[in-house]
Amino acid sequence: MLSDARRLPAGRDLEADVCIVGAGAAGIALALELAGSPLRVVLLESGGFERDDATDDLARGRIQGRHHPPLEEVRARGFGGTTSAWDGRLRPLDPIDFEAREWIPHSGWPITARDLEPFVARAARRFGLAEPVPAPGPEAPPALPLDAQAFVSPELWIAPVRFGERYRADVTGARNVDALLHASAVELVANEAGSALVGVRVATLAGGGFAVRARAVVLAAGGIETPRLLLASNRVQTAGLGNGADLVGRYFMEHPQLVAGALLPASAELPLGRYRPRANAGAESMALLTPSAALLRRERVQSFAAVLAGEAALPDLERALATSVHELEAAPGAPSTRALFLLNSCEQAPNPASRVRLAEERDALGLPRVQLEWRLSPSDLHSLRRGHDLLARELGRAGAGRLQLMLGPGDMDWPADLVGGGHHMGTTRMHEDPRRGVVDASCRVHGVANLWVAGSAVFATSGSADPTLAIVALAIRLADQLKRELAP
Amino acid sequence: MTRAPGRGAREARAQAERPACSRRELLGLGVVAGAAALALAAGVPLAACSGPDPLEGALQSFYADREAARAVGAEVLAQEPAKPGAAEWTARVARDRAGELRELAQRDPPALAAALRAQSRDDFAQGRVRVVRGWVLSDTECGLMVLAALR
Repeated sequence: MLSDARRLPAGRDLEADVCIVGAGAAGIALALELAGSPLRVVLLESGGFERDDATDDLARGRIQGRHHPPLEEVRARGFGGTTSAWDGRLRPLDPIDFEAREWIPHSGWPITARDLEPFVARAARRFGLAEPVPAPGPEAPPALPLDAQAFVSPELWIAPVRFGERYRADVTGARNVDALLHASAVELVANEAGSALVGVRVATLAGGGFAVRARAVVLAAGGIETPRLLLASNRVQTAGLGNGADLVGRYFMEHPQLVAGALLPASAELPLGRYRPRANAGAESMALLTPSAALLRRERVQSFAAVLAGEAALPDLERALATSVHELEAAPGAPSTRALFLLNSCEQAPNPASRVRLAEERDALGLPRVQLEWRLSPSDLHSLRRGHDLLARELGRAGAGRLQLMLGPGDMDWPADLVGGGHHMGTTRMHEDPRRGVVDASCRVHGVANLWVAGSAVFATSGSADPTLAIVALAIRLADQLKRELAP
Repeated sequence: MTRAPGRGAREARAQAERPACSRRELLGLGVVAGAAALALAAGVPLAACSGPDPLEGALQSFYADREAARAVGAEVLAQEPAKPGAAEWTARVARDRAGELRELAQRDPPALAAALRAQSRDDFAQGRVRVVRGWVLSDTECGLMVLAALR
């Protein structure tokens, strides 16, 4: 069932077994899994089916620290969330991403890739991919003649499913799901001890408001709005709900994205087809270049994933270099006439100083706006440079080509115009110890019995994979748990 | 597929087969030749009479497309404040394999090309690289391209 919250009678509270805050990939996936179950579900979405300026303005915030695009531009408030404006890149997190790596402080999840694997397979179906996500997997040998102990080429799947469009009928047609549009959660209402929620206070831009009383509340509002709501819900716990250890909003991670190299193939005939988007098993995919787990361990660096994202005709010097490399390598065919850019998505190490907090200013609904401070660590830049240095050497060792590095030894900082992938992670990180994480392994907020988080806010580390597949997998896993816990 | 030896290999062979000191040089420099004979007898290296080193010549002619190699080599050379000459660059490329490479240059130019290719790849493996306009290149190929530029 679907309702416009602006037309509900003010003050009429709703009751549910599960209240989901946010109808993006996580929230919709969760609702779909709960559809048809005996549980009554309320799905709150701040926006509607179309974006509007007033709703977008609710996401506006202050940016401090490293440059970051305006928040209202990188988050899509509306049914479907940011899947309404994404390029559909899907890849499971790598097994090493879950491990506690001694060279990355604060790394390590309380779950493993294997734990998540069955849910990744189910999540893949939501994107129209075969179940399980077809091979090649994370240790796939590179198509280039590189040492597979150093660099691997897992498949990146491209399935830009717009959850709002694709699943609108399924969600609104579910008899046990009430989807409320233009319904912004503005407070999590806790009991006197702060040990459980009694409900969610909801407001609309039309001036109305109501509460949802629920046995379980799931925050699925993304890596910025989820900590915002926890921090702003400070009536009982003054530091914010679930924030006893001052962790909510900290460890904000992005995937720094930049062209960090250009590949000059040794020959125009170098087999690069796998690195280009192509039809594959009923979907579209392309291979990536990424360091192997063995190399990451040996070099004690963080990961990156590079797509060969474009190509350019060669200037004079590079044309000369292409000719000489082709000749030295006795490569087949003709010298390459093009260089290919390596667009990198880099793993950011968890950093407590990188954070989301509340600003003084409030939005139209009275909620404090967000202040985002995206901060990178020296190891982030070191890892990118070291990884590309090793890739350059491996390409040369294999006679496959040469790599041009965009960041030279004298470049001590990232480019000023560095952007992130719009992947907001880590702000309610997962850890079994409440002193080190906001949610436990089941994504339940420590100390708040009936409050869970769905989405990339729970990521303990970011890896280099685009997060959406893992987000949906975690949401499906949470749905299974809620069905077990809340079964009549 | 391995490419057949091209013009570069043929030129390298011609360089290698050329005598180190031509007849005219010997005839025109009798005094030096005499000194060379003494030096030979004493086991002293023949710097004065060495003329163009066959290995140096072969390396300078390594690339068939000399203009292309020269363009990159000039960039490499620009990074060298001391501006070493061809002999020094030849020594840098040859390292401790000068005898082996010289023999290959004279006897089997395709084998010389293969040896230099392998050496270049090993440079990458061992981190013997330099960055030229952002490109990570092996020391060996840099040396070869500089030699083309110096020719």
